[in-house]
Amino acid sequence: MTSRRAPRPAFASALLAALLAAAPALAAADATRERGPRGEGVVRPGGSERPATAPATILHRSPGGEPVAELPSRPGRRAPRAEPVALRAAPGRSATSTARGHVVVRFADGVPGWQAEQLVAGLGARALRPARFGAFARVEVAPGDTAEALLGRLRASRSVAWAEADPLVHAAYAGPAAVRAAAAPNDPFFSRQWHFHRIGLEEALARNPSDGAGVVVAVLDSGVAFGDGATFPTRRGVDLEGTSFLPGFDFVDDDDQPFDEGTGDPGEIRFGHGTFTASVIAATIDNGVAGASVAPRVSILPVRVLDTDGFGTFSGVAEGIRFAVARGAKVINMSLGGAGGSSPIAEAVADAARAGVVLVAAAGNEAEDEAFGDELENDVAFPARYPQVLAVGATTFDDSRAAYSNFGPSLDLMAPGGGDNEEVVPGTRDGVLSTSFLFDPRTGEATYGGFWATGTSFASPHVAGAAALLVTLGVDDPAAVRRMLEVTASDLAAPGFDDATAHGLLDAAASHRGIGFTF
Amino acid sequence: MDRSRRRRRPTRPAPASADPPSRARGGLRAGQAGPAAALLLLALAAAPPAAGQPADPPEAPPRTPPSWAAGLRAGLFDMTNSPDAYDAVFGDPMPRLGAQLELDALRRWRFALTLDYGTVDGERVLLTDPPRGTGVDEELTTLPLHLTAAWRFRPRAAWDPYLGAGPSLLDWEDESEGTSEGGTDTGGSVVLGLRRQRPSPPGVRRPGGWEWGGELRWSTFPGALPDEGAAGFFDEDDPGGLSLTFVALRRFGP
Repeated sequence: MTSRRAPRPAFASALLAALLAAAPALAAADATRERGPRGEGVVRPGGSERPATAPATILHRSPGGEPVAELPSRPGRRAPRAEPVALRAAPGRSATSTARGHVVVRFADGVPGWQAEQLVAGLGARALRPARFGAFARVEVAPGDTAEALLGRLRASRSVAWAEADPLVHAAYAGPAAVRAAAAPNDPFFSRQWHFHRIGLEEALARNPSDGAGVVVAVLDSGVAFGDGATFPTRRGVDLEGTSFLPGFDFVDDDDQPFDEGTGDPGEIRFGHGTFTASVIAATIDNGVAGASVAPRVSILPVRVLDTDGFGTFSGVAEGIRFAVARGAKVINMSLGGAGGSSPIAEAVADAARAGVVLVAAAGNEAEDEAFGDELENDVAFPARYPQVLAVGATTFDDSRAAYSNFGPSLDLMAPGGGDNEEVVPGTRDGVLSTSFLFDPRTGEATYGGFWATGTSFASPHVAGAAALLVTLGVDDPAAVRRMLEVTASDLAAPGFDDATAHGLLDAAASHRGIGFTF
Repeated sequence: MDRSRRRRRPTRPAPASADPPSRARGGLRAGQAGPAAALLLLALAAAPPAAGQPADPPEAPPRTPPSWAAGLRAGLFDMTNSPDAYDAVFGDPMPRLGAQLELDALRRWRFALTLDYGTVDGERVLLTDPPRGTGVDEELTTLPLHLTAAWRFRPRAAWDPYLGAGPSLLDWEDESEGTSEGGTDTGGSVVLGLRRQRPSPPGVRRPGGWEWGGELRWSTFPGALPDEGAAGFFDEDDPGGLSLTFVALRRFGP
């Protein structure tokens, strides 16, 4: 997070420090169109200016200040019945797009680094920090200045191709609070993972013996608990022992340790959002532990773009996308979203799609909030809204659209994401059941196990995993993957496509049965 | 040239009204002038126009009366208007059987109503490159109805080519494992055909009998296919195409 960095005394030393920090990642990155820093700070032109937009700053839908799960070490404390909470900004953050104190800039073609440096300094900006992946730079707003004023001055310069705010993104975790699953010793979770049965997972895996082997799925999230350490956060998740992982990157802390530190309100118990998402996609199966997953033999590429508050920036997500493409990801899952979008992420999405990558993102959970109409304009969040991205909404146990799930003309597909997480049948809740952890920063205690959670965050990985399965069958073109999933989806609500449920509920089995001449 | 070897063309007897009366050969004898003069006056009064004036136009050949025919059709159809989608799922051309009713009238016109039935089997596919079957069976059934007005180039000859066009109606159904899609759509077609028939002189009713021939027809039904499945993926919406058909008919009188 840029807001946590100490002020840099001079541009040159700051640039040198940034280059040194980025050197390992740069050295390991494949050659792509969008390389990292060019030494002199010149960035490539392109893109168009976008007006600054306010982000949607929706938090977990859980009452503040209360435990979010039943912890076995504290008997008697029960998961509270969650009530919808009013929209509020994260403590310590403003509701504007420059909550992180910087803007993003692309300089015009041919502008040398020294000129860019002079321009930034002359405008009173604090530092110029080129993106590690992407043809743009971050310019920090100096104390006493405002992002809007700085953007105005930047845009007035001929040396600037575009300058815009860097909207926030956040985890699309709807809550209510993640509920610890009580697993009977002899009862694997799979029998209660209704969401997998609902998408025909058993038949799909029966038709596809590869289980996704050979496909890299990037999880752009809060990181993943995939390490081999003994303690949090380097410990591996409970059902990820047999899961294949590739070396990822942490764009929040700028290091190569994308371990999941959990997300939650500051000072409160954190939930392993990214670990849960990765588990839905590729938890180890047939190991007698916990439950199943959609594509258990894919390789997960962890990319941390969300901090412990569950927030990130579009520019960080853009870098994460480019990193994932460079690392050979064929499917990218983004269980996050925000309002407005930005040029860096629009370009990253377009480039990734052209490179043959299937992009999947959560539609967002603001449908019951004022932000849905005001900031999201009655449509899904970004990056799901981009046409190259499969926007995934959430359904409940009874196959209806979850009340919180964003909808609109940009919605593409539905997948189980759970409803109110209440028990529907004994032992089964209206939520997604998988594995992750809870971490209490006050005590330093982490609890790993199975949890019920809800949100479009956990609908999206169902589609990402199904896409990975299709890729193993040779459906290599992202447009073909999209067509296969959309045409074979189970129609919901009104016949045909509708804004509420799009093409319908993901049917992994039907997608493996193939498409017909006219259906 | 040896005159004895000259070929002599047989002379045809001229129709009674075809030729003007020829003048009698030879001259008048003396003493027959009076009666001869009277005869001459009568002859002159009744004589046709003298040489140099235009002769009566030849009488137009009698019209061939209309006739009708009915028969059977058999052929192959290839959905060339949506080749990628069709080939992905079905691949092979569709065999068709049908019936035909036609009316030959106005000397060179032929009006035909044809109805064919065709069906082809295929399988659902994964959109790999090239598409790969999944083993889930699929069947496409089509029922095109064509109304054609054709111009006959040699209506009395043994071989009579014709060229025509007209509106069409297509009923189709695509079915697989309980899922089906279908519709009835309008369109049109153009046909080029060749008919083997009994030749007939002008004005003579063509005797009844069997005729046979073949035709190449191109049909089109724009927008008939939905934007789903392989048709949607390849952006092809016209289930028309080329058909090659063999026709056998029995001709009857009017």
